[in-house]
Amino acid sequence: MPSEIITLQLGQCGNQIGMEFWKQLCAEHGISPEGKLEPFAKEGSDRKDVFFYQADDQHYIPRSVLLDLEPRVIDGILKSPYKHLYNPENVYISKDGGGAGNNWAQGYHQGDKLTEDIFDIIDREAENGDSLEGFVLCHSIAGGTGSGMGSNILEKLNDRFPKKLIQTYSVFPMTNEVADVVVQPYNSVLTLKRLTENADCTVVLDNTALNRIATERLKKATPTLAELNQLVSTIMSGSTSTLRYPGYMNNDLISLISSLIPTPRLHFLISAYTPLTSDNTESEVRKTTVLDVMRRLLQPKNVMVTTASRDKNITHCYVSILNIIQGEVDPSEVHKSLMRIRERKLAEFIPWGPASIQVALSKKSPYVTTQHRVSGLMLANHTGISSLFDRMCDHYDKLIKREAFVENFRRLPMFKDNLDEFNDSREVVQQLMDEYRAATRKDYINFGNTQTAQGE
Amino acid sequence: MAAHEYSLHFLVNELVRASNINLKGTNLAPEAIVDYFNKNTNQQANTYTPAELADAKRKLFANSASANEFVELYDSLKARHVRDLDSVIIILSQIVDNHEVRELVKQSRPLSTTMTSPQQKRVHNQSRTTTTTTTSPTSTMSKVHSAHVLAEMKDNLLRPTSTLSQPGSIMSDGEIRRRAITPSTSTEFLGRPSWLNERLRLLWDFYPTPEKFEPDVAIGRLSVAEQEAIIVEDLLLCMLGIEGKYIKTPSLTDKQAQRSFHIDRSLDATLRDLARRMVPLCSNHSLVVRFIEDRLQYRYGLINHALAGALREVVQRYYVFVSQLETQQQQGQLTLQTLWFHTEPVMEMMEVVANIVRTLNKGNTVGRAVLDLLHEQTLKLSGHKQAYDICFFLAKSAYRPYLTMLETWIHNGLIDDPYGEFMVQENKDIIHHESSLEQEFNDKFWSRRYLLQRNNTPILFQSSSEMILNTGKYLNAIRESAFDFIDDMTMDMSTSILRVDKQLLMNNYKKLEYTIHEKDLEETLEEAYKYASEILLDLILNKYHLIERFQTLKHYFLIDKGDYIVQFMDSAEDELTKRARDIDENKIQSLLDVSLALTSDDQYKDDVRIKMFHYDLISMLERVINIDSSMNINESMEHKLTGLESFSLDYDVKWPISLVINRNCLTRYQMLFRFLFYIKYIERLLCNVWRAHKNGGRRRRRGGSSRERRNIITKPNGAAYLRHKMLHFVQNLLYYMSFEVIESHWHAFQNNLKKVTNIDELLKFHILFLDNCLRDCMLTSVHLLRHIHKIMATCVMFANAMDNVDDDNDYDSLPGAVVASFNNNFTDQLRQLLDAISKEDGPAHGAAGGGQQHTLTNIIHR
Repeated sequence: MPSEIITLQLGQCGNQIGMEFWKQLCAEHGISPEGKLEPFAKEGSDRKDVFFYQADDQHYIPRSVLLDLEPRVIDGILKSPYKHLYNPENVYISKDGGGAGNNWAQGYHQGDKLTEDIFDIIDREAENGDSLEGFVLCHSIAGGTGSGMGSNILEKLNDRFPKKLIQTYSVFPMTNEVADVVVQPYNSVLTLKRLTENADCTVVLDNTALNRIATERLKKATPTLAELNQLVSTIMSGSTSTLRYPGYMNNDLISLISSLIPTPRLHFLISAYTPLTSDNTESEVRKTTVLDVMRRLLQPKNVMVTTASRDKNITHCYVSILNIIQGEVDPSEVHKSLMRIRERKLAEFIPWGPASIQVALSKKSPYVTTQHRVSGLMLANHTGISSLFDRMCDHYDKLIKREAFVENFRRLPMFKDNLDEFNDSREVVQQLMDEYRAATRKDYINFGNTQTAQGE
Repeated sequence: MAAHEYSLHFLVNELVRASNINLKGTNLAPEAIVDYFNKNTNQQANTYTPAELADAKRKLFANSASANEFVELYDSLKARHVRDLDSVIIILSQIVDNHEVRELVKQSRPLSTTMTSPQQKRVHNQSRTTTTTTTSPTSTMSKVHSAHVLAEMKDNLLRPTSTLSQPGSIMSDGEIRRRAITPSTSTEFLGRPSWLNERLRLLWDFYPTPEKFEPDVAIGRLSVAEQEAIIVEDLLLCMLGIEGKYIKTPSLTDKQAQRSFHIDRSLDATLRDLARRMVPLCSNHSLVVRFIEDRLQYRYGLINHALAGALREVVQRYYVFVSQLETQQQQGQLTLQTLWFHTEPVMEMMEVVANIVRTLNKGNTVGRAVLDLLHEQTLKLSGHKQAYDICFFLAKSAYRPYLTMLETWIHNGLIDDPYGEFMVQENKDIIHHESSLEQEFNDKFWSRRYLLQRNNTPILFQSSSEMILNTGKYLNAIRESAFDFIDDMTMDMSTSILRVDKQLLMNNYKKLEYTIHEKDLEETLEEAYKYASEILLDLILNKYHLIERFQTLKHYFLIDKGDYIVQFMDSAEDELTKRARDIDENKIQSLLDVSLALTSDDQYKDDVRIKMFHYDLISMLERVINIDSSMNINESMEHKLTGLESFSLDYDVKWPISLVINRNCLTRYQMLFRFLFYIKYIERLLCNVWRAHKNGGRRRRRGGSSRERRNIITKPNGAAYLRHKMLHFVQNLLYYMSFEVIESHWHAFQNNLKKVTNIDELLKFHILFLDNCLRDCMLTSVHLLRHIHKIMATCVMFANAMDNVDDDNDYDSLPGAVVASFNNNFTDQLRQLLDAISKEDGPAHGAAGGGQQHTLTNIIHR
């Protein structure tokens, strides 16, 4: 089948998100938790084969690989009603069961050791499809497994499948509070380097913003982890809806992200979704029109990344925007909305290239009833994301200055001799931030040139 | 139409030869004339709008020196419902318009004036002298002449059979035309058997007695009572069409003339006077009887036959009346006075009938004209009960065969019209046979197969004629599809269709009866129409799943379901990038089949086929726009064409569906598809470049010191930037075409479909949808398409250039100058395109154009 996508779920966070994602997909495609097609789901216009394949007994099996270094979360999944959904061969738990101890280096190192086993699974999955288009990786960049092993896998995937796309859904840790994991800044920066260099597209999910949205939009004082994960799965299913419900355009992953990412390194995307609902709250959004949806998508409070739109003396702007509108939409309505948004200048775009709001219209799943006629997802490339990295680097700098907690890292081969990897990563992130800032200026096209000139 | 062309050629050559015109001096070649006629016949020439007619009349009036005469003549002809009068008028006006022909006519003028024989005169007529001659130098002569000639020409027209039977004679223009459209009218009918002319006693009319029967005694010598008895007997005889002793009638030379009677002068004055009053009855009877005899001939057609039959019935009643009188006379009770008393009302009736007959005779009418005349008379006489009754009876009878035809047409969709009298004519040239239908189906079949003949449409049905035409057409379509269906479908399907057929026939319709109120008929017609259109629509929409078919077309031709294209391009790219002529079509077909099978479901995807065109989209468009230039597809282009540019889809449609999805529509779909497909391909190429960029960058990043890496990753990427620009353009274009054009028009089309009540509307909406799409996708202007094509070409060149360098080297090893030149090219072309679009964006494009411009300005937003 064309353009299959393999999902890799890494670590505690990745698996939790992944589980919600598959729950959502199953609901949208009318697949029961056991993988059977629900009786109400007739042969429709959807394409299940992008994310599922059929076993000998016609069960739908997700193209998904579940990886963790400790058994807790995956055990949880295997006890849930969805235990029969996954291919048991694709579930891999480290035999040590000790986890990565929130240590990037530990995760990375263990990843190295387990490469054989893991890539056995991945290779098998990859050969399973006729034309694999890419991988989707769910992980968090704060912990040990998701970030460390994730980084390792990213590098290896790049080696083994140079032509395939790698998209990640990366959960960024809270930056405004004291982190629950002390080495979180280290983990983040080290992972960020791999994300910059080895991933093609990273959808940034900022835990801070997710929490904020959950409290504000869903009126929850303390949102549970499951609810946050549900938000993430909504984003994930939304952004893949054009692949699963074929339409005129954006029927493969590459066309979806290629327009969003003008230059290879600027591939950190922010996302927004509206209207948001959770199971037991009533949404405050009553009426949804295309314009409403598009307008709301541009509001910072709906964006799932906390970014500073104003950064010292730089006005951040959008590099590109893709709105995926789901539901019954009259195309002329879309056109009008775009005009309005342009008139009111609701979105600021880069000065150096063509940019506009691209719209992809997608069908809604016939099996999931929503209260709203129209819902929208925005994927955007915004230079303001650099402020997020900036904050992360701030935390990192504070720690590294004191060389706090580095002992745990030093124990592992990568950092035995020196801490070069830390500095290197920090530099890469710095460059990334520089590039993002440069992208707000007109002379971005010559960005590399001037840099090189200065370097020499 | 080929057969017609031959006959036309023949006729025109004859015309030229007979009119002795030296054509060499002029540039009016026979071929041109043929072309001219051909064009005319193709334009359904026999239906003129009143406005056209009025215009033509005005022109003739202005050009004629004897204008008043012309008008008089025209009116009188019009009053007589002369057939083809309209055609003649139009032709004459065209002659007046056409300078060349006028000159020709002038040349032939001296010739024609010397001709005396009717045959030559006729020839002269046909060389189109007539009224135009009034402008010639010899106008003094022709002033008198022109009207005469015109009359002569009418005369000609009125005797189609005689013209035909004369070898070497040329048919008038009108006839050529008529022949081209209704071949049946010009077929020669069986004449009257000769014995009818030889044995005159077989007729009901007076037998011409050569030997003058001399009365024994001069009647004047007898007593008045005797005289009365004799004259009563004579009158009774005369009423039956037998010459009496004292009432004589000279034999007639003209069949249609009024018979005159001579009553012996020696008769008593009072009796004679009274008898004279009754004589018109005899003469009217004679007229009617002769009319009946005449009209029973085959060539007059069903309507005249029916009328004659009805008249015979009237005459029959008249005979009963006369025989009653005779009985009285034999009983000796009948005096001349009582005879007069009894006869008077009958006379009146006879007068009415005779009047009708006279008018009919004058125009030598057939078909529709008879009906109209009767209808008019009936309406006129509606105040006079008895006269009205008789008129109504005649009209009703005459209408009967017509209505029967109408019934078979509107209830069964068949034409049973041996004499070409019906308002709908089947064009025999367009025959429905399956092989041709499936291969080369176009809308000709639907729009041309049955034509409305204005000439044959009675006034009564004038307003509902379109409805009648459509009703039959629909039924006919159902019939055709039902037969096709039985052939190749399984049993259960065929039974269901049979049910439909039965339904069709069981439909217990109201019998059509003649009435003077159009409304009553209209109701029945409307019912039938509704029924037919409902059934057909239901058949096409539900049995043949038209809506689903539309969706399939949209999925595949308009790339609504883009996933199959992705799959197809993956597998067929290698094959398609070859030159068009090297491509193995079977291979492509199988690859397409595989892609279709693998991707999303659609019931009718099996009918999708590939088609390789041997010319690119631009020339396809050119061909559509100006058909004349279709010949010069330069061969060189064919060499250059790659499979990608020539690839297109085709779609197999079975008969009833092909009614809607015909060749014309498919061509439109194909144009859209080729355009979309090519853009998709460009998008794909650019995406590949994108992939290469990220790979190239990535590979170099690995290894090496951080210093080195730093230099590389932050290298400027003009190429990436340009690629982004192109991709942005291409994706926006795609977006614009698919969502703002196709999807929104589709939306409107869907809404229209819900409202649709008959198949013609459906067709109209479908074409409208496609045309709108084409227009807004800039596929109606070669100019715009050229610009887009140039941009595309630049994109392809760029992508290929990138492809060559990226594999092992770093992607931005491509010299900056090359990238810059690509960049310049691209920007220039884009600007040109935008200029062109804003130029085209006249008021003609309207709102859609505005949207288009808007979207595209958005593309270049920088």
